[in-house]
Amino acid sequence: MSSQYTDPEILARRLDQALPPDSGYLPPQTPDPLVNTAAAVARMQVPELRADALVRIETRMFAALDAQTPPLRALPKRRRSPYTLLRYASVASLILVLFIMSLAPSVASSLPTQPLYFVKQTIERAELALARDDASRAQVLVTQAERRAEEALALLDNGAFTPTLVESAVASVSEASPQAILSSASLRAQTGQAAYLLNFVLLEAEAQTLVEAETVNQLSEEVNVLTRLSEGIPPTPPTDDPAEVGGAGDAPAAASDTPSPSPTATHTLTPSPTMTATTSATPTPSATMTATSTATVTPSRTLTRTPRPTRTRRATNTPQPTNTIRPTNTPRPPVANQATDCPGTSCESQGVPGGNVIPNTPQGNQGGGGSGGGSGSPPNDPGGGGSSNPPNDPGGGGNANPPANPGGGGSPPENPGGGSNNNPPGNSGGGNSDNNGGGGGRP
Amino acid sequence: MNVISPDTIAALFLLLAAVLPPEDDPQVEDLNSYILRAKQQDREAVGVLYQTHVRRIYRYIAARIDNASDAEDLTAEVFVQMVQRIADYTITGAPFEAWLYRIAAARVADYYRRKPRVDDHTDIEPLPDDAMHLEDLMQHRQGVDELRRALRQLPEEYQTVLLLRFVERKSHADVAAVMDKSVTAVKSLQHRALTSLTELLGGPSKSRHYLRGERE
Repeated sequence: MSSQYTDPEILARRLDQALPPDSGYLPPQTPDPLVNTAAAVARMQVPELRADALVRIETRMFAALDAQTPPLRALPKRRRSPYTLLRYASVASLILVLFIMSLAPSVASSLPTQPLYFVKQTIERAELALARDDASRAQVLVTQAERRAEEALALLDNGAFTPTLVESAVASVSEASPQAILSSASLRAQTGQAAYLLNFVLLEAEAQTLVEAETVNQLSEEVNVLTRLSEGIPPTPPTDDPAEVGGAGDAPAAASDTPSPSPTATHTLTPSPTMTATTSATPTPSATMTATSTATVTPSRTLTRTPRPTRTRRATNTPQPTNTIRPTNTPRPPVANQATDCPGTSCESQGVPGGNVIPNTPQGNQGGGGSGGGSGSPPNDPGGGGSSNPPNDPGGGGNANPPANPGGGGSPPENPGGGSNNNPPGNSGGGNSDNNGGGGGRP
Repeated sequence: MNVISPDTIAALFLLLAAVLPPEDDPQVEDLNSYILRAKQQDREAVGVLYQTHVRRIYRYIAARIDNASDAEDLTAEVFVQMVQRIADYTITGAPFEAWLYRIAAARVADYYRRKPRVDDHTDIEPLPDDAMHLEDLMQHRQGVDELRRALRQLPEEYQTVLLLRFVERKSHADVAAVMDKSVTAVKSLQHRALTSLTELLGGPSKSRHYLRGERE
């Protein structure tokens, strides 16, 4: 038998074209006998099922169905695939997770006045419960204290203040193991940061009259515990130290309470430029902090909170801060004092405590802040302080003056002031024999 | 508190969607639901399965045997067996009608084992619609009888593929699904079936003669 389409694939394609599926089309004769045979089969009319036969067969079928065991249970009309329920549950869970995740930033930034704050507290309690050892508990508690401080700062930005947040922060740190904090530099730094924020909040709140001064005092003392911890000082029982309250005297600092300005300065001053400016005016960091708030802040209170540093005095050569000193935002230049300025040399070398050194100027005669030193007199101007000796009069105390100028110390070359014994001929003054003038003004 | 990035969440969602299987075809899912209910002897579901498949099963049986009445009886036996054995039927990827065709083929085989073949042309072949001369009509019917006899001489698989392909006009893929074979196997089977039938019909020339309704 010959066929144009001996290959099954080619025959199949030819048959799909000649006798397409799901179609009643019948092709004309083709040269291929196999296709013609297929067409003959397609033309083989098969009888349809008669209507009565349809009913009869159905009846016979249901009879056989009824003859069987009754059904055990009725199935639902439409049965879902088990994967459908799992799919719905998975999508619902994912939507819930997405919703919770979207709330996370809101929860993290919530404040005590907001609805989500209780969620934040719940999460923090869970965090603390999960901490197993002292170190991890301390980390959690210090972090929570820092959060309280940040919350207090955020409330302050909104013009509100809550002492509870400060107390809560202190309580959190107090609950932690002191050894765990002291042994970790990061925890100490975190504690110090919290203390800094809390102190700032207290001062600002007082400045904005959101809280009474007594409350600020009390809370500041509590915050001081955090400050000490941050500097490696173990917590000690509170004591009534009058020196701390009075702000005067050389009471030794309780341990190493900011003995030197530099560490505390870096600790407290660097974040604020205003604070840096005030630091130059006042030696104590607390005073600096107060200055940054407002001018109304009394430095005495802040000062009392920081123990007087004995070393500070040596380092800065500045007088002990007292209540009388009012720090200002702008440093004031030192004021000259005629009585105690020491021209020419340091005051200490001349036994004058704390005086300012006045530079020697051959031309002019500059007065300094010294403790009552002679300020020199212009020519032909009787100076003060020095004892003028008339010619031919032995003077005392070295007050060489020109014949016409009985002036005091610090005089120009033509006007030798007092204190020197460079007397014109005939005038043997007291004091130095070869002295053109006073302590200052040498030709 | 750290927040998972949106990219991570989207990746998790896509991973979840990839893990879960997709939804089934709704038509197949509907038929499967009726099958499941029929397994529980639900009359409505059994009735739906009957109405969906009865006519094609009857045509298949009627094309393989010559007696219409016997074809109806065999069809009834098929659906009786359906309700009796559907509790053991397992839903697989194969179409439900494939199972019914196998039952029908078994019934036809039993029919020929029990009953000798009798050439009965009167009930099967209807009269053609177009007007034909009586002599042409007689010749037409003789050709159809010859075709039927030749068809019945083929193996069961050959008959099934020819009837499903050219009487039911199913595609190669549908026939492959019903017969649980590959498409390539069906094409090969079709080729062998047509070759055998053509030879039985007397070769190429006789095929063309049959189509024209002429005798050589």
